Amino acid sequence: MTLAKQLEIKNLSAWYQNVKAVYDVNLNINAGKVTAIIGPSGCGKSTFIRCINRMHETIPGARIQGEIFLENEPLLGIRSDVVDVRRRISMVFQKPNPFPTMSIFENIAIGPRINGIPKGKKIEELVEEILIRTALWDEVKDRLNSPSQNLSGGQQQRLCIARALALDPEVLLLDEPCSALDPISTMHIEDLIKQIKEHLTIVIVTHNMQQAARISDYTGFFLTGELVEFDKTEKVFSNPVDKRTEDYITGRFG
Amino acid sequence: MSKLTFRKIINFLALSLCVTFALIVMFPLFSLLGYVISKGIQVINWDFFFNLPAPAGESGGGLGNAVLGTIYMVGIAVILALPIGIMNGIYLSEFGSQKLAKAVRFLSDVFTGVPSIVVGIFVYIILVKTLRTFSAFAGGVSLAVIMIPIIIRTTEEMLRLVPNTLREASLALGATSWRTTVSVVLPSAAKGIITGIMLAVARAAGETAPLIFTALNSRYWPGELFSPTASLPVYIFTYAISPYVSWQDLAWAGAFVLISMVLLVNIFAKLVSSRFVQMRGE
Repeated sequence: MTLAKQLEIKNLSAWYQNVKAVYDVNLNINAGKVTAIIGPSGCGKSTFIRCINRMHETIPGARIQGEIFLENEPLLGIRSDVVDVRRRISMVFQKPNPFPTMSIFENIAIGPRINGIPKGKKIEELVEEILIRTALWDEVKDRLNSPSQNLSGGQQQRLCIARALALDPEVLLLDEPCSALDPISTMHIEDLIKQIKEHLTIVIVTHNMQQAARISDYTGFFLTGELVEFDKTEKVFSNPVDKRTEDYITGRFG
Repeated sequence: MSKLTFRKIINFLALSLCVTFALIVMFPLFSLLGYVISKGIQVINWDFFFNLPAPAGESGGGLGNAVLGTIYMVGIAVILALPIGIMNGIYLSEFGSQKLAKAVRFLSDVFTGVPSIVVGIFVYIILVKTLRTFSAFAGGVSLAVIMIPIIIRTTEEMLRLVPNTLREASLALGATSWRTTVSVVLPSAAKGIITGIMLAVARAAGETAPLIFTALNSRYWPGELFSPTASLPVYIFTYAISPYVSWQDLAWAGAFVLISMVLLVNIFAKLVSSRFVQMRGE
């Protein structure tokens, strides 16, 4: 397993056509920790993490300015390869989106198949390893070849996390991964995040503040595209510096 | 009358109107099918499929060459139209926000509306006049020209129905956009695309006008790519307006066979696409 790496974000701004969604964000995301990004809807938090693996660029008319470094390696600009960036920084989306035409097995196998299976390893072993690591193995081992759509919503989302981990990434981005799930499935996913965070740098966008408090080590608060506050999670929730953070956390708006 | 009863009556009336019009649509369709089938079944026999046409006035004979010729030319058309149609559809849906794409989309829409006889004249000028012979190849090209815009538009529309979240999932795994299209988007849309291709095949199989200008007709078995070739629609046309009863009977049998072929193609398409989806999912 590769070591987790630190992310360094410098003067990051992002646009959709002429609308600026992220304003000049500076932030260091620590390796091997869970960083939560919170804020009201439309505050630019999703746009922000979609800049990190350059998914933002896939939207026509979208633009990024600034610099992002993964352990001193630049991710933006011509010196980096977008396919490589996305392999090393994988992402899980808001709605579970397993590939409907593929089986459970194939959903996990496709990433390594696209990007190359590590030498001396069989794809079957790799898939089993990932499923055990994501605690899905016992639930799906007897039906690896059945369609991924037969799984429940929560299982589908865990499958998507497994699919992202199969690439052996250095960073895992989670874009509101529980917002379409029930509380029990949410709990499963949070347990999973706690289990895997050791070897990963995890960034999770959530509009659920309790969730941020439960699972994250660091928290960043976004408001209208700006990073208002960033600190250790306990600090942000118990003793925020900025008045706006306090208002949001105590439920005065948002 | 209370307001609620009034609303219920309106609802009932609207529903009955819809059902009535649905029945009106079905009536000509089923009467046409029924008539062709009842007329055709009376005169069809094995000779129809295995014999060449008999000379005028003689009874017996078949249209085996026309059945084979139609399959032959539709086959040529499919080979030509499939790659062009599907690649264009992919381009329009996955990569097509540029000006060129807009032009392609507009032109393929225009092409859908071009009368098939004009397609016939066009292919006549570029292939028949230059090669100095009517041919199966020219016939296949003219059918391909009719099929291509249908395949382009159905492919594009089916690909557009694939949710964007799947494309994002694939791109986020480090797949290139081509790999995303091949591994994720196309399989998800396969059912609809196959149906679209089959519709195009069915449409092309029944075309008469372009074949009169390009493949003409023949009394012999098809085979040579660059010789005049028989086809069912042209034979139906020629025999139906002939004064001989035995030929008119053959035209009915031909119409019956043509309709059956189109029907079979459609049923086959349904089977293939459902089997395809099952296999992917097992």
